[in-house]
Amino acid sequence: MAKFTVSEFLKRLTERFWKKGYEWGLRGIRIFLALTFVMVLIATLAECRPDIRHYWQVVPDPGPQCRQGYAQLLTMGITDIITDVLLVAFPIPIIFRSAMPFKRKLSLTALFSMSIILIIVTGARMPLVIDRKGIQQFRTVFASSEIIAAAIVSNAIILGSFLRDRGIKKTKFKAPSTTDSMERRGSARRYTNQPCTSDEDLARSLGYRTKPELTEKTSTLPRPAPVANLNLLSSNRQDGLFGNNNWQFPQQELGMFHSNSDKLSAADIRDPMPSPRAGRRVSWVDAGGLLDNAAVAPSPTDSVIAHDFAPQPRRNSRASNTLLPNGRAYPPPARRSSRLSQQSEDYEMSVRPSHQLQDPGGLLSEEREKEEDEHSPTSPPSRPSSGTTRHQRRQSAPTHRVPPQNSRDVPSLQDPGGLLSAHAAAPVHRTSTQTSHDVPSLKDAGGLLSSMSQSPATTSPRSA
Amino acid sequence: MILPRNIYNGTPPERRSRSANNPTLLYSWWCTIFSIVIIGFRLSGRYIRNERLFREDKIMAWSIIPLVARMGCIHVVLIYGTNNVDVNDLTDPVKIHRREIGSKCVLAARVFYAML
Repeated sequence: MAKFTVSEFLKRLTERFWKKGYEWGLRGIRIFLALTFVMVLIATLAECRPDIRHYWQVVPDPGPQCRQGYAQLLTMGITDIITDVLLVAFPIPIIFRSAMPFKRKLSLTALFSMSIILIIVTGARMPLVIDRKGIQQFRTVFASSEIIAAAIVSNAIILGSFLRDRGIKKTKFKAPSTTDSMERRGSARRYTNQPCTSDEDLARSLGYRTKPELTEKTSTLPRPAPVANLNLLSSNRQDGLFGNNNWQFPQQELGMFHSNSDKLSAADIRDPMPSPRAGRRVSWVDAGGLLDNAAVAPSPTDSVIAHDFAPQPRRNSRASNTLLPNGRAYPPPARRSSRLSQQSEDYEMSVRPSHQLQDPGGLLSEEREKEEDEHSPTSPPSRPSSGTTRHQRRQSAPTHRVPPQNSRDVPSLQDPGGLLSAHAAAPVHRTSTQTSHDVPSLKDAGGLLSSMSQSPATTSPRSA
Repeated sequence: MILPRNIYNGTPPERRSRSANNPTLLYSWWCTIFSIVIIGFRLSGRYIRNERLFREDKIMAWSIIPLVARMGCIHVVLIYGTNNVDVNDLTDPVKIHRREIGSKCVLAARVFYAML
């Protein structure tokens, strides 16, 4: 194996100036190495001919053939020497044919010729062991010496290149390949997109935008931009860990805009704001800017752009989905996102504004739903389509969300139960969360859920 | 050069005590560990510099396995002994059994050594 390593190194070396003869020589060396192994195996196992059990027969002396293992010793020694000679002799003509200064040639030859040490050790080993009647200890000592010599020799070239701070790294640094740059860019993009927890980010990265009404509405609201951006970043980063209750500041911010924002506790809101801002963040990263522009005036180019960046964001969608179940513990997001990506592929074929409207409304986020939930008391007639989607969500909500809520322990503050029940009955946010703190039993949570699922309107009004 | 009849020596070597084996054992372990350290240096250095391992490095990493396996076998062999001894006054069945095990391990060790 050590010699295979050396041969592999030589192969990589000769790949740069490819010649048929070198390739054949290397292949021959490898074949010979494999053959060596087989030969040694045969010599080890077949030396004691009558019966293999004589190898470990002790009391009646099985004879020297079965005791001493000279065949293995000699076969291995001789083939070792041959392969070492081959491996030493192989790179030397390459070196001497190259146009390097003579001193360097010499040093390189010396480096490659370190296998001569191995040859010497092996050559000294055989007669010495035979002199000592093949005593095991002596053999072991020599074998260990050979092993360490082989390790040193086969790693000397690489370690030497490390020490001289040269080698393969230099070439890589000089000429960064296309794959390298692509990898880097992908990683960077993933890093920046990873903290996006909202499903709208997901859809946006897939090439979809939100409903124009929503984006227009929220973007026209007065908002201190830099503060909001920082806040979004920090809270997003924590969001994967701590769930929903660190949206304090956005909520205070919200108080400026919404008259009913006092209903919203920190645990309830999963920040209605991030969708436009997150979208802007995506645009800050990559071609989302193009998408933003396209959102103003949807055009055939829109589909092209979406198609361009579709394969990249699909990975992002997975990444953000890994974050999502921390916040709200229920399995469906993965499935939904796959559905989303499928449909997005469909939509990429035929991007139309109406579909774009429909898609984020029907398939996407709770944020949007929550947003609707907040918006709907203030201005219900403004978005008729959102009303329908909300109804759909509510119908599907119990089936999806009840099991994780039961499985999780209710009394925690970050429980998604509070969030979810808060969804179903928008005006009753605070009540539902408080009950979820107070009552630690699972049954009550289930009861809450069931009442919620039956009719969101009949949930107890804010009386706790 | 050497005639085969001359190689196979009829008289097996004398037995050695376990304490006499200790330096050998120590040396073997030292060599093995040093080899592993060298390989580890190579792999880690390559990984730090290139952030990926070439095929030769992977082969080198795989070769740690027979290295360690051989060392395990050799350890047993050196402790238990092999059948390559003078068995004239060897009567203890436990010792005989140990030497049988040791002889088997010798075979395994040789195979692993050939793999290396």
